[in-house]
Amino acid sequence: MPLLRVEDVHKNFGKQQVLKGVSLDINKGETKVIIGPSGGGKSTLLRCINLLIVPDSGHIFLDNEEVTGRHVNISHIRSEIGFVFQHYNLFMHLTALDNVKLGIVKVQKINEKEAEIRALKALKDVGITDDIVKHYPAQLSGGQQQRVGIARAIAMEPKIILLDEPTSALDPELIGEVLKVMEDLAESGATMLAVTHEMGFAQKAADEIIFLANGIVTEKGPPQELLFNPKQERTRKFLASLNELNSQLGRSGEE
Amino acid sequence: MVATGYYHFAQSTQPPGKMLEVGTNTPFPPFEYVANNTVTGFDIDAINAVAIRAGYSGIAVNDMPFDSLILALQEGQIDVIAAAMTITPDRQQQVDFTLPYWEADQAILVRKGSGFNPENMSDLAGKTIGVQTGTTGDYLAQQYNASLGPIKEHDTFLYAVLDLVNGRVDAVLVDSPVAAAFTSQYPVAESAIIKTGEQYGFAVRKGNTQLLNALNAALQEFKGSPEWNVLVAKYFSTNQQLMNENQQSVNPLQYVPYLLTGFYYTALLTAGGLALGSGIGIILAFAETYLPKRISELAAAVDQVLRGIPLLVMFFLLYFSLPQVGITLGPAFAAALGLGLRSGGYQSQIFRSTLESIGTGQTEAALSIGMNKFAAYRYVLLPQALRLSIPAWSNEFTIVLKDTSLAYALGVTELLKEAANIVALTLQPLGVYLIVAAIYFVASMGINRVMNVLYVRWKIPGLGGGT
Repeated sequence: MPLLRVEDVHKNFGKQQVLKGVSLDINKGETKVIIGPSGGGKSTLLRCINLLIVPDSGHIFLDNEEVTGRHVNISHIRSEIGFVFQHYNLFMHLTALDNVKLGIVKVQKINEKEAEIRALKALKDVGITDDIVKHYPAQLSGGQQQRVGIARAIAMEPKIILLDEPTSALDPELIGEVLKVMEDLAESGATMLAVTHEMGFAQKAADEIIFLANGIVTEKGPPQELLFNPKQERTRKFLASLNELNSQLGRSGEE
Repeated sequence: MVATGYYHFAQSTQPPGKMLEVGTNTPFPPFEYVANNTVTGFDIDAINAVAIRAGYSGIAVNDMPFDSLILALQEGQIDVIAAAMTITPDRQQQVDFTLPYWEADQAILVRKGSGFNPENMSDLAGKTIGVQTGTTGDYLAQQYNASLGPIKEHDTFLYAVLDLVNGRVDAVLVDSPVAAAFTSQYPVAESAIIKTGEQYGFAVRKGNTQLLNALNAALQEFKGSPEWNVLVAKYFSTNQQLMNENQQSVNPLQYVPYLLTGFYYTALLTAGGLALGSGIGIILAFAETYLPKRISELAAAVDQVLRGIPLLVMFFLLYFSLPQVGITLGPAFAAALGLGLRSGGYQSQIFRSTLESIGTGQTEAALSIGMNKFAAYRYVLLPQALRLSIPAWSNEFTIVLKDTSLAYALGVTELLKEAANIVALTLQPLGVYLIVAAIYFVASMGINRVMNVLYVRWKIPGLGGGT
């Protein structure tokens, strides 16, 4: 069984059907990228996996345990799933170091000293240097904040990391440093599921790209295949508009 | 000899060393007033002498609003009322009175030099009359309600007399022994005495025959003794002396130490009320913001009730109503509890609005690292909400501080009650209440300053706007 299995997940918000039966698998050490138009259900899918949103039907398994089971300890499962937010969502009242430490100390109940060592290691891994670990989120740049957000996720030593458009709120010149960290992470063997439209990252790091539109997986496949030889008209149109947007911004998908 | 028999009977049934719980209502000089932080006066000395003769080791005095005395007696908070209470048929249906210990008639007081000299109740037709709520003068005025002008009811005779001096009423009806005390100190004169045949008695709980008999026997013995004459002379034959005694220091600043003693209780009530209110507010805000709909609606309803009840009503519910279901609270505790409950309702609103301003991203992030809702609230949301709440909270702080003055109504000797006691003695409301206002002002300003300093010190860059 794969590390993460999503099986026929449905979710409605009122009358609006956001997920209409989504399935996907990720094996340990794989990186998969979800692309698709806004409103297609990408964020909802990620939030269903760590139960920030409870799916209406379907099953989700993490490491042979059913996340959607009746008597699961939701908090424990979430502690095993790293989540990186579009708007970083760093704890505003805590320094970068304390942001990373909080979960280790309060959730994993590890003593302060050891937690600090682990937190500093995670911060170092994402390139946050010692001179700014005592800075509050508002004193950091967007790129630094998002790297702290990634450190907060990996310091918990999760089984999988979910990234929800981690670079789309960043100024263009700050995107590179975050993508670099994500690529390093993928290379180091982490299991990742990322919603992102950074095609450069997808090409380099993804084992598979999943195109999600109107609440269903329209098409999926290895990057080379899906990006350069899409089978569905819908996918082709989306990629074309994405390329157009990127060239307008003066960036290419292959940077 | 019959009396002696009763007396012995009473003495043999009273356990030695027991204190008689006495209820009274200050300030009503010379019957009951506060001097040097102690309730004293004719009634207090008299009931003390009677109690000791009845076998008690002494008395414990409970100072409370006149309107509340009978209720407190019925609830068992006090054993006897000694509050210059006139024996009336109405009251006799609620309590049992001892033999009369004092007979008083009603004096009509008018402004000196006003040229208005009523000789009877008919002469007061169309005039504004000042009385003390619940006194015989009040009842007398109500009887003539149709012919009199407006009747102004005051908390104490002193305020009625002050209104008379200031021209807000045309005449004041007071018990005649008290009238003399006022005519000697204020530009007011006694224009007539209305014979009412009014008699003061001590009141015990209806049906408490044993105590009634014991007190009656002791009272009769006391009135026949030389000590009685000494007591009467002390309080009535020379009112001037009493007032002079109390007016030795005319500078109200001399009373600041006493006022500060009162402020100590004001501070305790404020601290107790705020702490309790914070606890309640934090819990309600959490329930309203993060718990399932049914619980959050319940919390919101509790919140509305707490905010919807006037503080004074809350005080009366806690102090006078709870004893009926077997819960008796002390006046200071009841006041702190009332302040805390009310403030809890308002503090929950403060915390709730700051929590809502924090945004869902913080909650999502906390839940995502594996915290449950309570941990997320405790470690992520509350620390932010508390910091952001400081400006609104310091406002609530000063409101609670100022509202402690309502504890006056339960007889708690906080700043305002202390001041009222001093005014009753010194007859200097201007100076004393100005000092009181200044103390409240300085305290409020101090709180705001300290809170501002804390806000700046605890401020975190980027939290709550700005850097």
